[in-house]
Amino acid sequence: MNGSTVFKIKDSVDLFLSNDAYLVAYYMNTRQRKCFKVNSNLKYLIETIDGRKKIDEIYSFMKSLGINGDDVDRAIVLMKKNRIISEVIYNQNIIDPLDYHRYSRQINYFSEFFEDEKGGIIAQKKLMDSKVLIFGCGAIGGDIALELAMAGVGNIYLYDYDFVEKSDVSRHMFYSIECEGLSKVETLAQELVKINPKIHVDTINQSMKPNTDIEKIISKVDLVVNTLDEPYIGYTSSKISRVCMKYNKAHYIAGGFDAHLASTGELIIPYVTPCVECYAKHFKKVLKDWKPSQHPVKLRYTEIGGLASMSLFSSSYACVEIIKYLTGIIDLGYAFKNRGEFLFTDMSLTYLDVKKDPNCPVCGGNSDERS
Amino acid sequence: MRGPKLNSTVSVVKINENLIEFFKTNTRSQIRIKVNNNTIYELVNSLDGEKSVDEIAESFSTTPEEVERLVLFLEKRGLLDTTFPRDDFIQYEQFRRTIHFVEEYAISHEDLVEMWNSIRNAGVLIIGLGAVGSWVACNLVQSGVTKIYLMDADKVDETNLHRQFGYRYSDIGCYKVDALERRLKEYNKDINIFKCYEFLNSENLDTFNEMQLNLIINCADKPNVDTTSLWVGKYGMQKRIPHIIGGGYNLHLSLIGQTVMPGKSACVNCFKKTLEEENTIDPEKVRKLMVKNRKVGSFGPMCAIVASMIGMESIKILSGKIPPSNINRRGEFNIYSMDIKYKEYGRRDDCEWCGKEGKYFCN
Repeated sequence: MNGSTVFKIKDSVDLFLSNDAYLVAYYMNTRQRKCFKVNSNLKYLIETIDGRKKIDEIYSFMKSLGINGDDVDRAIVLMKKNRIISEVIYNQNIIDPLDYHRYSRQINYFSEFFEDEKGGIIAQKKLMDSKVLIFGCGAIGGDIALELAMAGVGNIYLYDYDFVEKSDVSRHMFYSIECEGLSKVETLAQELVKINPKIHVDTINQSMKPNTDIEKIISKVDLVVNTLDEPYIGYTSSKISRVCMKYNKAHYIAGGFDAHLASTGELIIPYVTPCVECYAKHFKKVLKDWKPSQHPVKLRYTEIGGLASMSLFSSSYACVEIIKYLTGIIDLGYAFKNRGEFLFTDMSLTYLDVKKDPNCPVCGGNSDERS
Repeated sequence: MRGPKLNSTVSVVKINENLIEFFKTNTRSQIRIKVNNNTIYELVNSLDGEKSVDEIAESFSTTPEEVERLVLFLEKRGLLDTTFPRDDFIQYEQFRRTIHFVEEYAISHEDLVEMWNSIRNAGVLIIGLGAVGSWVACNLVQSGVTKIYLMDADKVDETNLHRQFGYRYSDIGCYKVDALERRLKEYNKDINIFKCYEFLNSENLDTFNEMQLNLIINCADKPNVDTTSLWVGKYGMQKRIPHIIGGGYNLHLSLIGQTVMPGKSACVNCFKKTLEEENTIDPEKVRKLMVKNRKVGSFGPMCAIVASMIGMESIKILSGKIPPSNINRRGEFNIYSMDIKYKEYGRRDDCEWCGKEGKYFCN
C-alpha cells in the first residue's frame, strides 16, 4: 500500500452503524454478518472511501477532522483483512485495457468472489484464454455459444452438420431469416464474431458417426459441451464422455433430455461428479417399470418443442455452471449440481438424486488406480 | 389429417393390465385411466391421424359412436392433436413448435386457434432494454408475438455487450430501440415495432393511452427499480393491464419479479407495504452507511435466467388460458445453490390501490 492506493467498499458488503458504536458488516454473497466495535469517527472514514480518492487524500481529510494517521491505518488494515474493502486496480497488466473496459461490469461481479479486484481480472483472463467445444448447435448449443461468447470465452469450436430452417426461429436465438438454408455452424460462427470481433471460432461441419475421431479435438480444449441427440443422446454421451474421461476434461451434458423444456443439465468433472455411466445406471433403475409405447405419430419430433425462453433457461443455467468451472469463482468440487427438472407450470426447479457409483466401471474405484 | 391423432407430446404407458397412463411431456402431468382389457391401449396407440373414425371402429370391432366418445374424452384432456386444419394458424410453419407447445393446454381446435391468435396479436410494452429486457423482447418475437413497444433512451455501449442480447459490436453508439428493432425483424419481418426513445418517468406512460397494451414488462432501473415499479404498477392498475416486474441482479442472487394481474393478485403497492413492514429496523439506533460510486457488477447468464422466466410467464398471460405462476410471490435464483426460492406476498385489504377502499379496487 502506498500513498496513491485507492480502496473501495466491496459491492457485496452492506455496512450498518449501530448505536454509533458498532459497525455491522453484512456479506451478501455468503449471508454472513460480522460486528466490530468502533469509535464514532469510523463513519467519516467509510464515507471517504469512495473508490476514487487516493489513500493520501483520505489521510489529509481525516487529519482535518483531527484524526491521526495511525488510527486510519489500523482501521484500513482491519477492514481489508475482513474483506470489507478491497484495492482498486488502476494499472493492471493482466489483460488488454480495452478488454478490461468491455468486461468491466463482469470483472466487478467476479471480483466479489475473491479478496480483491485482481482475482476478478484473473477470472476474466481465464475465460478469454479458454477453449470450449460445443457438440450440437441447436436451441441449447446455440444459446450456450452466444452466452459464452458474450462473457468473453476466447475460443469456441462448433460441431454440427445441420442447416438453418424456417421453424428454427422459435428455438434458436442465433436464427435470422436471411440464414435459412445455410449451415448452422457457419451462421452461428458469424453471429459470434458480430458480438465479439476478437473471438476465435472454428467450425466442424459434420455429423458424428461411430467411426468419427473426436479425440484430437477434445484433447486440445478445456471443456466440452454435449447437446447432440443423434443418433441418440445415450450414444453420443458415452462416446464423448469416454474421451473426456481419458483426457481428464470436464464436459457439460446440455441436451437430449428435455432441455428444450427448460430442464437443466449437469457438469461432469472426471472422478469428482457422477459420470455419464453413473447417470445411465440411475435411469435404468428408476425407469425400469416406466415403458412408453411406440408413439403412433412417426414424425412427432418435428412437432415437439418448447418455447424459446425455455431453452434460454437451460442454456443460461449451463453457462453459469460452465463459467464457474472455467473461472473458479465458486469451487465446484463440493458444490456441483445434478441434473434438474424445471416445470413450466409452476416454475419450480428440483434435482435428481444421482450419486457417484463407487463400483462404476468408468469413474469408480480408487483414484490411484485410474491411471 | 383424416382422423384422430394422438398429440406428439403425449407418451402412453401401460402401468398394469387395468391402468393406462398418459404422460404429457410439456407440462409433466399425468392422466391415468382404468380399463377392462387391452383394447383401449391398442386403440390409442393406433391414433396416427391417418385412419378415420369409421376405419378405427371397424378394425377394433366396435361402433363409430364408441370411438367418438373416447376421442372426445381424450380431446377434452388435451391429449389429441388439435392443430388441424393448420391453415387456421397464421405462420404455422415458422411457429409450429410454439403452437404444439401450448396445445397441451387447449381443449379443442377452436380453443388452440384462439390461444395462438391471442399470443400473436397481443401488444407488449417492454420498458428498459438492458440485461433483462433485451432477451425478453427476442424470446417473445421468437414465440410469435407481433406487436412490441420498445421504450429506452439509452444507446448501446461496449460495456453492455457481455449481458445484453441482440446488440452487436457494430451497434455501439446506436439507440437500443433501433438496434433491437433490427434484430427483432431478423426473426420475423411481419412484426410491428413501436419505438419510444425516452426513459420512463412518472408521466410518460400516457404516451401509450391510445395503444393496445396487453402486457407491460418493467425492466427499467432509472432512477431505481422500486420507483419505476411503482409507476408501472400504478398505470397497470389504472388501465387494468397485466404487468411483470422484471427483477434483475443483486450479486449472487438474481431477483425474479412478480406478475400482477389487476384485480386478481397482489399489486405492486401490496408488495411494497409488506416489504416495508418486514424491513423495519429502528432508525434511531441502526443506520445504513451510504457507499459512494457503487457500480454493482453484473453477469449475463444470471440475467438471462431471469429473462427466460419472464418470457415463459409472458406467454402464459398472453395465451389467455394458462395461469401465470408468479402472482403473489417473488423469487430468487442463487448462484451458489442453483436453487430458486419463492416468497409469498398476499393481496392486502388495506392496500391504497387494490384494497377494498383502494383507488383501483376491482375484482
